Parts: sequence; structure tokens; C-alpha cells
Amino acid sequence: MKRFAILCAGTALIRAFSASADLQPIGDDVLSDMTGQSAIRIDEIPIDLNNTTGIRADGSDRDQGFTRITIGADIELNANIDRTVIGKRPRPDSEVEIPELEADVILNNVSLGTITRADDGSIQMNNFKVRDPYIEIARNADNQLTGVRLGFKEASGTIGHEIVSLSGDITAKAYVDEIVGLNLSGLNLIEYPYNHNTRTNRISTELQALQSILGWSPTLTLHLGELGHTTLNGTQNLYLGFQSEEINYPKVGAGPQGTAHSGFWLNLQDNYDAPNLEISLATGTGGGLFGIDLVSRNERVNNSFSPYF
Amino acid sequence: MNKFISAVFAKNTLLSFLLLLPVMAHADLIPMSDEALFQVNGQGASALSYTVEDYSALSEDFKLELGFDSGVPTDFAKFSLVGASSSDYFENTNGFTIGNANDPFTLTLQHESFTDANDVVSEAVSLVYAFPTGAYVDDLAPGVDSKFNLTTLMSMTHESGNELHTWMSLQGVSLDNSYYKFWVDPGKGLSVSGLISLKTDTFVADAQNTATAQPGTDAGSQWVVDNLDLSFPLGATLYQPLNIDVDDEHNLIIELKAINLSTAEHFYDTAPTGNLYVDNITMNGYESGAIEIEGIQLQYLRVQTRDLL
Repeated sequence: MKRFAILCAGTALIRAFSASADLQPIGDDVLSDMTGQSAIRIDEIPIDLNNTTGIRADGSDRDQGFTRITIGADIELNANIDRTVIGKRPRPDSEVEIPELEADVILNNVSLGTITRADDGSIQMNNFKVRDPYIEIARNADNQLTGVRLGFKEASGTIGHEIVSLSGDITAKAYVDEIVGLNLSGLNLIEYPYNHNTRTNRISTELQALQSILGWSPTLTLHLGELGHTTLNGTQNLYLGFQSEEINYPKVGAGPQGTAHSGFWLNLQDNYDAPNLEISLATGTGGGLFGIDLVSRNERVNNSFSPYF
Repeated sequence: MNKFISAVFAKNTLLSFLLLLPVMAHADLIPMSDEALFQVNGQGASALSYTVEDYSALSEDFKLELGFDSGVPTDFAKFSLVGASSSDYFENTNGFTIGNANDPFTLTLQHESFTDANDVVSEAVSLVYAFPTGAYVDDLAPGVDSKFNLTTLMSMTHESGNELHTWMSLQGVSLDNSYYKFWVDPGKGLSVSGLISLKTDTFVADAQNTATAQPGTDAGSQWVVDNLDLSFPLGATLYQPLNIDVDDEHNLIIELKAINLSTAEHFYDTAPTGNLYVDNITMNGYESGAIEIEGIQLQYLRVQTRDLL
């Protein structure tokens, strides 16, 4: 990996501009007075078909090369977005899990951050935070562009949403303290429903811990449309990519990351929580004697001052 | 000249004339008539207005160089700003015309005040730079461009000797309805608010390993973004300014002031929200489908750069 750092402030030179003004390069004596900050970094990760670098423990080839531009920055924001639709187009049924969903990502009423009343009665704005955003482009052995992704080294905060469609590797941590209708309180299960698919509105897992109690393992399904909010707690390897073919992007941080499929693809697996779930028996969705599903929901969070006027 | 001055003062402090743009260009700048001056609406403020007629700017000797601490340069070379109907980037080009006497660019100095929900009054003298609204397009002669193409070449040379030359071309660009407001906030320095309104028929990014005289036509090396339409507010009048500062460690800080209980109602009722629409992105022949993001409302933003090394 080659690493370059741009000295943003210190070494920007304007050599010439063929207009009516003659602009002179900044002299060394002036430059020496400047303190540059390496706030931008460019990483080049070449194709490595024989794992000659030995950096992949599984010995796999890397058949794509990558150029990543990272901006060193801490970003805090508090925002609301009415509607987000990304990748809206017809796709063959074979490429998607739920053909009725018309886009790779559809989120309504998104809020980044929350506004709450503190114990002392004051109103508090709790911001969403990300660190070191980057853009990375991928090229194949024929030097053709095959992908681009926007990612963050780390992200934390609460997201309010109505999730209609998601595509990607999504693993949410779900705390199963109580199941409405079942006397199972006190088990304090933590489960990780997972999805690796394009255009879905649910992620699920089997509650293996209940096998010995019930004699079968009910399926815990997070119907994403029922989730009013989720939280990120120092989440790493968070990115949204757009690919023309499957790509294994190099990992930027700790935490799981899968192979990105074609189209738009989200990796959201590390420290991604679905808090305050109310989990209950699904109605009419049971898969027979041993396949009773559980569904879960949580409340939408507030990110507006309007309730406090 | 006396007639011109009379017309100006007849409008009571409204000053309107053409601004001669200093870039090497082909432009026919036409003085505004007395009749036109009378049709410009002042609001008791001092204003300057101008139009751009048959304008274009070309440079194949333009160079903006960014230095790397490893001595690896990235530079922007070649620059073309021409009418959208031009058949070439640097030859056989046409100019473009934006604005007319009834719908010009304006630079206005005005007094403003804002009273928040607690009856606290903020006052400032602001300088407002506004683009035409687009009404002028109806009056343009057939064949006259109201949009422009902006093209530049970015070249990077890595340590390895590998070169990456990326042509970036915004084609069919309109910035109508954009405006920026500047004022001095006590203790905060220069404050800015405004609206970015950007529409492009096509954005092409063409990345190749060898420099070319023109953007290439190989789909494998290109991203093509069709019909990008961005409307994005930067802050809201006097109570939500955008400020730019540098801290003691030379980190850049960009902060959009948070709304609060005393300003939120005005913000929700009157502040514009942002939208982003893209019809399609084509990458190496693969199509993304549409992107539709609506109702973006920034309640707070803070970006602070940091050293990545």
C-alpha cells in the first residue's frame, strides 16, 4: 500500500492561470512559515492476484485495485430527511429477495440524531457523529471502473427511520429480554439477525438458545419497517457502495464485512443495535409446528423541537 | 453618463451596471439601458447588477498543483468554460448568456433583522449575491446558450510512476436561483447562509492512465451522471449562519449553528429544505437507476479536520 498525504494548507501552489492576472508561486520563505495539516490522504491498493503481499490470511487473490481518498475529519450533524430512494430501477427477480421493492435502498422519515428533554428540564440536541469519511474507487485488471463507495472510519448515534428496502450485509444486535405471550423473561438473550441480500425488508435468525426449553427454535425476524430507530456505537466498516460486479473492498477497520453485490450495497454490521425491542409472536406467519416466528418493533425517536414549543 | 447617473439616483440608492469579468474570454458585455435600470427592483438597499452575455473562457495552460509530503504531485490542468451547445471542449466553442435586464445577477447590501421567539432581536447588514431566477431564459434568442459546460483535467502521479488522469466535465450546467448572504457576526467573524441550486444535464468523470487532449469515450473508464438536480440550503437567515474558522492547531472548522427552541418554529415554518435528484449513473456500462433524496433539513453541522498521520 502506498500512502500519500496532502499538505492542504502548506503546499498548495497556483502555478499559472492564463487570464488577465499573473499569479506567482509562493516562495520557499513563505512556505516555511506555514504549518501544513495532513487532512487528506490517498491510499493506493494494487491488484494482487497471487496474494504476494501475504496480507490476506486466507491466501485469496485480490482481483481489483483500489484508490481511496480519506478526509481526516470529525463530523457532527443533526438532520432530518423526508425520503431517501437510491437505485430505483427494475431488476430481474433473480437479483433481489423481494421483487416488489422498487429500489435498492428506500428510507422514509430519516433522522440523524435526537432531541430530548434532560432530567433538569432543558432540551438537549444529541448529534450523530462520523469520523474520517472516504471515497474509494475500484478497478478491475482491465483498468475498468467497477465500483465506488462512500464510507466512514467510525460512526455513532441514533438513526430514526421507516425502512422500506435495504440491500447489503446488515447485522443488528437484538436484546431478547421478554417475548410477549411467552413466559421467557430473565433469559437476557442477545441475538444477531443477519441479511446478505439485495432489496429486503427483514433480517432474521433462529433463537437456538430456546431449543432446550421449547424443543424447537423460533425464528426472530426484524421486520425492518417495524423498527422506529436503531443505534450505531462506534461502528466501523460502514459504507454505501455502488458496484457493477461483486467486489471485496479492503477493510478499513475492525468488524465484519462481506462481499458487495452489484448495484447499491450497504455494510452495516459492527455495533449496530436495535434497542428497546418489543418482541411478540407473529400472527399468521408461522411456519408450521416448529416454525413460529417472532416479530419485533421499537418506537420512533424524536428529532424535532416542535413538541417543546 | 449624466443620464445614467440620473437613472441610478431616480431609483434611490439603486446602482446597477455591468461587471467586466477579468478572465480571458470571448464576451460581449452590453450596458443595461435606462429602461432596464428602472425595471430593477431595489428595496431601499444598495445594489449592483450585471448579466453575462456570450461568455466563454479557455485555458490549456492552467495549472493548480497540490503538493504531497512524499513529493508526489496532483495537479489540475486545462480549463474550459463554454456554452452548452459547443461541439468541443477547446475548439469550435460557443459562449453562453445568463441573465438579462429584468433578471440579472445582483449584489445587494441590505439591512436585516430577526426577532426570535423570546423577542431577542438580531440585526446585521448583509451582502447578498444572487444568481438570476431563470426567467431570462424565455427571452433568449434561439440558439443562445443559457447553460454552460465546465471541464478540467486532474492528474496524479504515484510513487510507483503510475499516473491517473481524470477528466471531469459538468455539461449543461445551470446555477439559477442560487444565492449567498454574507455578514459579520460578533465573535464569529464572517457568516454565510444561502442556497445552492445546481442542475447539470450530464456529469462525466473519465479516468485513464495516460493524459489525453480531450475526455475519452470508452465507457469502461467513465462514470456518467444524468440530470443531476441539487437544491441545498446553507443555513437560514441570521439565526443559522455557516462559519469557517481555524483552530490553534491549524485544523479547519466549518460549523452550521444549531437551531434552538427560540428559532426552531421559524426554521420549520420557513427555511427551505434540500433535495437531490439523479436520473441515472452509468459506470462501465452498468446502470444504477434513479436517486431521489427529498426534504433534507440540517439542524446542526460541525466539521473539524484532523491530522491523519
